[in-house]
Amino acid sequence: MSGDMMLIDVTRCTACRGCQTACKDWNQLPAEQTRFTGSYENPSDFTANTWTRVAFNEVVNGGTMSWYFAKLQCMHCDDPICAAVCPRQALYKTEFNVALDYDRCNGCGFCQVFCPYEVPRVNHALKKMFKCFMCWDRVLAEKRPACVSACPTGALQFGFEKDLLPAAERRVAELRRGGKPRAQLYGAGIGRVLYVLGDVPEAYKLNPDPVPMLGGQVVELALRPLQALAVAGIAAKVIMDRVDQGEEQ
Amino acid sequence: MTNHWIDYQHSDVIMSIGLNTAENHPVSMKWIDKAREKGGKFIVVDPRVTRSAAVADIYAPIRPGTDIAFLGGLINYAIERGLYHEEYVKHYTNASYLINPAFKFEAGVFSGLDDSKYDKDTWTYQTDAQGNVKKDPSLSDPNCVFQLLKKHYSRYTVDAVVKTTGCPRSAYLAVAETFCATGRPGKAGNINYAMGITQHTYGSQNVRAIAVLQLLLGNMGIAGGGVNAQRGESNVQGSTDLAMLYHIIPGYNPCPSAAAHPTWADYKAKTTPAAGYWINRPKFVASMLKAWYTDAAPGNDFRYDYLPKLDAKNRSHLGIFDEMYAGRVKGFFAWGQNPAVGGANAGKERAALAKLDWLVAIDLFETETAGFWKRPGVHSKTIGTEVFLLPAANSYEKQGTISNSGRWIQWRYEAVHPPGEAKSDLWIADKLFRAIRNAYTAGGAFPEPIQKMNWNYGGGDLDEPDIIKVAVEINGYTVADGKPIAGFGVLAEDGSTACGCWIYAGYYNDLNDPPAKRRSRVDASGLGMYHNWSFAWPANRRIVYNRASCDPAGRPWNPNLALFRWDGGQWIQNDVPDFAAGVAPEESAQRPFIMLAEGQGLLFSSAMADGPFPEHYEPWESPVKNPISAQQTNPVLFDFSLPGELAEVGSADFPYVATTYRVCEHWQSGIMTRNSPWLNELMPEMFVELSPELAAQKGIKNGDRVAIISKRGRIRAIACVTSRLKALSVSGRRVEVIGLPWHWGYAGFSTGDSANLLTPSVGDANTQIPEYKAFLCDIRSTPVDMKEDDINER
Amino acid sequence: MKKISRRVFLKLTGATGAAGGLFFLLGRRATDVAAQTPAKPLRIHYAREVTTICPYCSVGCGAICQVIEGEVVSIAGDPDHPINEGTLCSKGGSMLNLRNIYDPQSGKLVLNPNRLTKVLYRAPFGTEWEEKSWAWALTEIAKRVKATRDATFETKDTNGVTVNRTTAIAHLGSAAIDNEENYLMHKLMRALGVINLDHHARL
Repeated sequence: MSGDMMLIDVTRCTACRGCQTACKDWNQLPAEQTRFTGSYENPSDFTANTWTRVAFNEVVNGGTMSWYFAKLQCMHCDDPICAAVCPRQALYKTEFNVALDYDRCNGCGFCQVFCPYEVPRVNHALKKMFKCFMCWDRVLAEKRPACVSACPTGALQFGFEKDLLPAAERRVAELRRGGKPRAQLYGAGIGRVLYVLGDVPEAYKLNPDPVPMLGGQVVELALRPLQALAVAGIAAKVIMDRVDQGEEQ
Repeated sequence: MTNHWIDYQHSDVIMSIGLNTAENHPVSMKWIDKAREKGGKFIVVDPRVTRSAAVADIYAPIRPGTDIAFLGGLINYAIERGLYHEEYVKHYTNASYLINPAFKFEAGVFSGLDDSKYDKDTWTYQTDAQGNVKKDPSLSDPNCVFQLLKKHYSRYTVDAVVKTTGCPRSAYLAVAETFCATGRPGKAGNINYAMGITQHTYGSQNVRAIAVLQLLLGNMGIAGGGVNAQRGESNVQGSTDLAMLYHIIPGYNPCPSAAAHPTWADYKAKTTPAAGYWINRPKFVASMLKAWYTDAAPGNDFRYDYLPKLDAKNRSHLGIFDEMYAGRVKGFFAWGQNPAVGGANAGKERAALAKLDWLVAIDLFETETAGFWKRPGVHSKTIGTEVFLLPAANSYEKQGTISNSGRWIQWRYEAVHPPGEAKSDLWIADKLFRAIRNAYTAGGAFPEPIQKMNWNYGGGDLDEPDIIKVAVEINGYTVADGKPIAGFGVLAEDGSTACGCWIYAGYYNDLNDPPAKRRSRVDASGLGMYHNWSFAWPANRRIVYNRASCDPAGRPWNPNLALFRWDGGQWIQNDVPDFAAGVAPEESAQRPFIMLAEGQGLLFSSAMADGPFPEHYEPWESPVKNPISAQQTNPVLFDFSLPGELAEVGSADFPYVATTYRVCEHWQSGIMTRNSPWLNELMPEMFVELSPELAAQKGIKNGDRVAIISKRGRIRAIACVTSRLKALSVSGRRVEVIGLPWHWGYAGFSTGDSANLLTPSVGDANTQIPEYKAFLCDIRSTPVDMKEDDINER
Repeated sequence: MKKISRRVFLKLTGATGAAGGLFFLLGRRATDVAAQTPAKPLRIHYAREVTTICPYCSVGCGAICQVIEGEVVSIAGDPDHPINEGTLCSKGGSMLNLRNIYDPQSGKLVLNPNRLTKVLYRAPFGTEWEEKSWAWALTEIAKRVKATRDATFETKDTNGVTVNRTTAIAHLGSAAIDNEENYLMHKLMRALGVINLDHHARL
């Protein structure tokens, strides 16, 4: 195992998006049909074939404008809600990722619905969920994930939390001294992906307040009648959507 | 590039001007970041906040086409405040040379202007009775280069720079203070540039302005310094070295012209200077001719007559298309180039293609050039051009070398065979030559240069030619035994040596361990030179003009980044010396710029067509009168425009400055990248960038389909309304700049209108590179669909 | 719960129905993922590695082509290369697409359908490409070259200077082509007497 954590230092990112193509190349993913809608950011959302993408955001503050970039992907939560809500227990946690047992996955989409980072995507034709798996095959073969290997500037690093967390803290301190007072860590204590930000999370299109529910709590909620009803409703909606799409096709 | 990519880590300041390095050379950022980790600063000068500017320490916005004003201001700043590297300037440049007192600069032009050409009679050095150049080592004589330079740029005050470029004063001063600080001995400033500098009617003078600044600051020949042209294509360095250009033959030797060089004796006399390394030119050219013609010998002038001689017309890209448009070019090879998208004023170039008898296009994918006869809006049945489209192999379906910007000649291997009947360009060139030679066996016009051409690379009619034979020919060999030569030092003008391209001598000099294939990561220099990784021309030298890294006594300006050190008896070397290493340091210090006749860096150069000092002119099309002088445009620019193609100064119909550029996700005319689904996913469509203020004024919303119009044509694009662009204040006027990527056309998976339908057919005075980077336009919110015939494609 | 239910509809309506990832799923990867164990070697473990240099910008980054059964299946940065040290930008990272793409329907790796694999010919005033053989094309192009050259060749100019040129043929070469190829192309064109010779460096 080559590590248990990815560090994304957005202050070193130049948005070349080598990470996006490296992910496609390694994980054998077809391209999306996209449109230019007034921003360089594309694809504009995760899909079953797009597991990582770089967010672009222009922030004008007083007279100065900043153009921020941040690679987005699965946070690989230490207490993954997706796994907690998975009716088939297909998702599970490892030392370095949230993995999926594809034989168990039936593409119900609960994970997609509950993920506070809006990451998993269901391919309805295949009845399977897809997302970043931290290139588990590479990590187990002592290689770094494909995106990390590709990153020209070192904005992406992969290693062990014991090394990366202190390095990230040092980097934040350095950035604060260097004129970025809002520099901060993001994702610390949440999962296997840790960010160094030069500004507040919103500036990078990162959710400043990911839904603060722990997996266990969600399960408890789901066991209560009212919430159970809601979950059933969601399930019905998922099924209906699939039927609709099937008819369209 | 005088330096190389890894060397960027040694810079104290890196200034990117006319270059978007994070998008167009993304991996360069790895080495720029390493410099920054050590406290280095990264400056970006650009009309837009690019992905480079977004991560820069200092960003200076600038109006397109005002680089000389900006750089001239920095020259003035350095001189005025005494920030230049005095010892370097005194010893290593022509600052002390006295200039002909008749040399003048008045009203924006230099002495000798005659209509559209300069007579350079006054751009000369003063000489004594023995013919030696007169010098004033104190640099105080009013006619010495230094004083003339100082006087010339004294006009480029901070006010003048701000008024001309539109750069906010605070940003400009931050750049001036930061970059000029590299004039201190031991500091290294790197200026890197690309097409934002060259694609102007005074592009070469933009480069000169960079060179003058770098000489003043002592940044040439040192680690972390340099004038670093970040070249735009994987092998544009190599294809230039190998002379895919009308005016040269391989190795930067001039292509003979009928007027100047009717005979071999004339050629030698006129192209061989009295001093400098080019005194060896006859050896280089004779050896090239020997490689081409087996019977070349002193007795037959090495078959010099077989070489075609240039005529009086300009045979550059713009000139060629002008001739084609006039119907005088009948047959055309578009070999891996796509002028229907990439050429300036592409509508004219597309129209010119229809006047050909035949066109041979060779590429990986169908290009817009190959398919020009079926483009939207034209009737194929009216176009008589016969078109052959030949399928080529891609970069990993064949083997051979390419030369990167740092002059590293690297071998790449064939991973897989080309698909279907696609063939390597080597195969195509070989079989085509043989077919033509066959056609001439029955006679024809002067068949000798074809019949006698040394062309024997094996492979028969069907198989791949032996590329090693080609490599050895380029490298050079001794005629007697056919063995590769070690380097260009052994070349002779007696027919005993053959060498296809003298500067490549050494790249394939060992059949068992060819330097171009070397992959050793051992770096004895400790400076990231990697002398045993591939081969850098010339002579595996990684930083050129490297004598200038030490003072005249041989002490490195920066002992921590020493390329050389004289230990009293010999040089301690961390690079291949670009000087005579066998003589005392004081002697080699006389000639640190070994290729030049003066042996010194030229602050004043008579080699330029448009003046010994760079002077600010406005682009051919400009929204304002020249704020610096009464001369509006470069008086000697190349103008291939058709009547009615010029928008006047300050045109109300075309009030905005447009500039073109590339994005990280596409490349050139897009023919490789718009056929890549993964890249189209990232950057799917043609767009235009404009400021929120301009968008509001025009009623344009982000994501709207809009029209952009110039005197040459009109195109459609999707609006990208962005605060990354901002109106600039120029001569008291608000000037809006709009940005256009030029990657799109009507072929490939992703199609769109070509920005070059808008650009003008005018070119640089020295190189004839078209002015893609600054022209006038209008932008309009239009209905989503424009009628095809609205698109001006003659 | 409010936040979640808002997202439900956003995400479910946006969920993809394309059949991408099929190869990923139905190929050898499906069972690998199920197990997520190092028991199976990487998909490139037995691939032949061939080094190359990126064909895009001029940094000269090294890359490695992974070749399985005569086909390139992946291209990524060469970790030994001193300039890029294994990294690549998006263009470099898409190098595979210059030959192969993942079919959006089947998810399978297929030849890029836009790659030219045959000689194509368009007759004067024609409306379509026709497929031709190399032998035919080379012979016919040689005929055109000879006819144009012979009709326009100047051995001497008006001043009597030996010029040996034709101004009726033009050639644009390429900065995307290898050095050895450029050299042969230059020789070929100068042998014909071509002076209309240029390429990307002029642009």
